Amino acid sequence: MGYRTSFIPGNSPIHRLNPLTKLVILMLFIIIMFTVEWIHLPILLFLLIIVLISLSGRVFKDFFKIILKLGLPLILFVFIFQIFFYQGGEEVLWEFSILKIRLEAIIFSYLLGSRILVMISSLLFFLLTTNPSHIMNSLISMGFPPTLSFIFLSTLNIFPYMQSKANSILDAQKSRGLEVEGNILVKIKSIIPLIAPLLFGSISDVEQRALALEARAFSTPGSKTSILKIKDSLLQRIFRIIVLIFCLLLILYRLILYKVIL
Amino acid sequence: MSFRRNSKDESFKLPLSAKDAALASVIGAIYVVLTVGLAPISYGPIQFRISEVLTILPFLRASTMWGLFAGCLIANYVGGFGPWDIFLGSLCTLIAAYLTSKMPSIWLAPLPPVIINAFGVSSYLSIIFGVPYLHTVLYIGISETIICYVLGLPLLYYLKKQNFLEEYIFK
Repeated sequence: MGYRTSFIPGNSPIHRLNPLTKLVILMLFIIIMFTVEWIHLPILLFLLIIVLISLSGRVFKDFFKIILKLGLPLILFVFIFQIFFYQGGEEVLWEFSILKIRLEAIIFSYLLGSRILVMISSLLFFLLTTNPSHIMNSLISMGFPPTLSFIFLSTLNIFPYMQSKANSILDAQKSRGLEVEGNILVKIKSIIPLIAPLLFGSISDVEQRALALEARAFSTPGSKTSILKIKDSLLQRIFRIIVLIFCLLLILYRLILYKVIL
Repeated sequence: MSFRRNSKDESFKLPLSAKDAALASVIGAIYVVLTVGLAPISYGPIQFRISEVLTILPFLRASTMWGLFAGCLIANYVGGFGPWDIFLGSLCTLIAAYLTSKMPSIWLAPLPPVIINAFGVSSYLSIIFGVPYLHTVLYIGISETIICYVLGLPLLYYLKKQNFLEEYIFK
């Protein structure tokens, strides 16, 4: 492995921020990215995220490793795929039998690829610098149903573990002679031998988690008092409100620009 | 054989029990793994999202719909197609999963994801990307039908026969 995919403790100014503030920053990134139509914007936001990460203590190395190992293959795949299959535009730059690369496809793929990069890195920035129990506490204090926030957080949490499990199942089935390379029909036939072990293998995980939850009084009714008190300052609250208003204005700007309203 | 659901399934009501919450988060994680791992074909107007095979699970246990919601949200987030895709796409999945849990017969169980994803997802994709609406409905409808009916129905039948959830988890 060599890298941590979840919260990395630390004492940087970023770590000390309230989880809601960081969540609002996350939202700001996304909304800016999708309301302002500048092709180089996502890359700029990504550089900004790198600046923020470098302020966060020892998070940078793990962040970088995850982006390289998990993020880059995904982005490359999408980039290459969408270059060939994007349906917009007229001018064809390069042809090879049925595969066509259009200029608009390259632009779209670049935009999409850099957007995915920003999405992954902003979420990673949030997750690596914030304690999951703090996140859950802040969300619950905002009125979010606790069971739902648990599901979101633990889905994110189990994801790397599930991925390695899926990989080992893939290897195991391949060593038993399962065909996975080839045309789409082969791929379809190989799905159930891959999914069924994944489902059945997760049963003990479900049991263990359920036990752990019940041992922590998960299903007792009523609101839970927490020993955890999350720090929040007036400055951060003002900052959040300003950012939220700014986001709303951006959305309005975009809607007006596209003549959806007014 | 068209199995009928035996009793009213109220397990999706919040707050969830510990077992339901654990199951939902595991299902969500599997959904994300399958979507992200099989990118890029899991995204876009022409998509083949293998993870949609899990949408048959709410027929067995309604609480899994929250897992699918969370999984779809995270998978769409990573996919980078925008806030619309993140929220509306997962909302479509949630509604479809809820309807699946209400379906009376096993043959109808894969139907809600097919219909709601075909018409719902196409509606906002056509607005954002300008792809023709009916074409996208067709593409998504066909891929969902293959995944949910050709792959999902046998899986559902097998799981129901094995009494998968009842035997192993909800004893």
